[in-house]
Amino acid sequence: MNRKLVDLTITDESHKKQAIYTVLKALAEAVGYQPTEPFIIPAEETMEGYGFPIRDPDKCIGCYACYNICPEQVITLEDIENRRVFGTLSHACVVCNKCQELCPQEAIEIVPGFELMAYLTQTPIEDINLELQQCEKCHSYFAASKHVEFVEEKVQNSIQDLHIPVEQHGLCPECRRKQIAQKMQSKWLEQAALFMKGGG
Amino acid sequence: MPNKVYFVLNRCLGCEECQRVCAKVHNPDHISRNFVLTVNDFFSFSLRCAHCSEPSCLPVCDQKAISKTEDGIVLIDVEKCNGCGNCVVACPFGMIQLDSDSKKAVKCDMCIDRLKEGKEPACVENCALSALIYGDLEELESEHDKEIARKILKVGDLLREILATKEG
Repeated sequence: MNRKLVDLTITDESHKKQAIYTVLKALAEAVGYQPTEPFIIPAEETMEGYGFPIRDPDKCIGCYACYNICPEQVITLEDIENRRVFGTLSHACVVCNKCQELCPQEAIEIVPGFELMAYLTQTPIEDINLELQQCEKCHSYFAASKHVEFVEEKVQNSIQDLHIPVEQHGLCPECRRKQIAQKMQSKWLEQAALFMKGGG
Repeated sequence: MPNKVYFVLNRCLGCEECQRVCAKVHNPDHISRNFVLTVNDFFSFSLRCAHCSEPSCLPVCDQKAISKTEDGIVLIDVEKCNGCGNCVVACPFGMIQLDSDSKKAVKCDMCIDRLKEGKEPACVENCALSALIYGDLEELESEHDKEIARKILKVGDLLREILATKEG
């Protein structure tokens, strides 16, 4: 019988976690287990200190807060064509709870337990994918549609009588800058014309 | 009116020195908070945060990381910023960026550290053509003789219209 030996020497806490993963991986290989969907080991059967973030698809607006705050790059974000895809490398989560605390929409919850598939396949598990907003001018995708809607509504609710002389709705930041430059250029030409006439 | 950085129309040649020097003084992020844009390959403009009187970025920040100082400077508190990108979407002029290294929002802070030392903002000091000027708009206009004020600083009206949300 073919035996595969696994080194289980534990020196510290992080090592312990690694050892558990190694055993699980060896077991999965031994029985030929290839996960196709998330395999969650519930909290009661897991040791303390294990958990992973889950996302409420109705609440998430697709901003960058969780992705930017995660110290272990557990949360992945990828813009594929016109969709923003959020993923989770659940095994890497250190349960620091930062994403849960900082999510502006309270869309993230850290649930205790352990998820095996992300570790075995080493690929993030797709959480949700959101529609992206396309810039009306350059046709690039610059933010999630829900995010843009959310921000615009917030601006409208908090600033009355908002006066912006350039039409910027539906434009990416780069095109917004170009828009101002163009507006300034046409003003400049107007002034130059006035000056030539001697009216100035 | 608060002191601001103003752009004088027919002086800029698009050398991008303001961009370089901005990235340098805001070491180590190396991101310029100034944007030099050239329209029709001829007309160059140097743009930055307008420090709006009623900024759109301020109310959208959930972390309350954006504030307006008494001097009218709109500042982002790096400690509080969570990098969600709300302000980037909210800014109607596209003047806020997300730094991919520090994962925080960055924008012009009018070189507040330099102002405290009694210096002008770095882009103003280093603009070889004096296309950028710093100060109170009304004072700046009265400083120049009428002819020049009419030719060059008419841009004041333009700036009031373009780089301000309300009274600017």
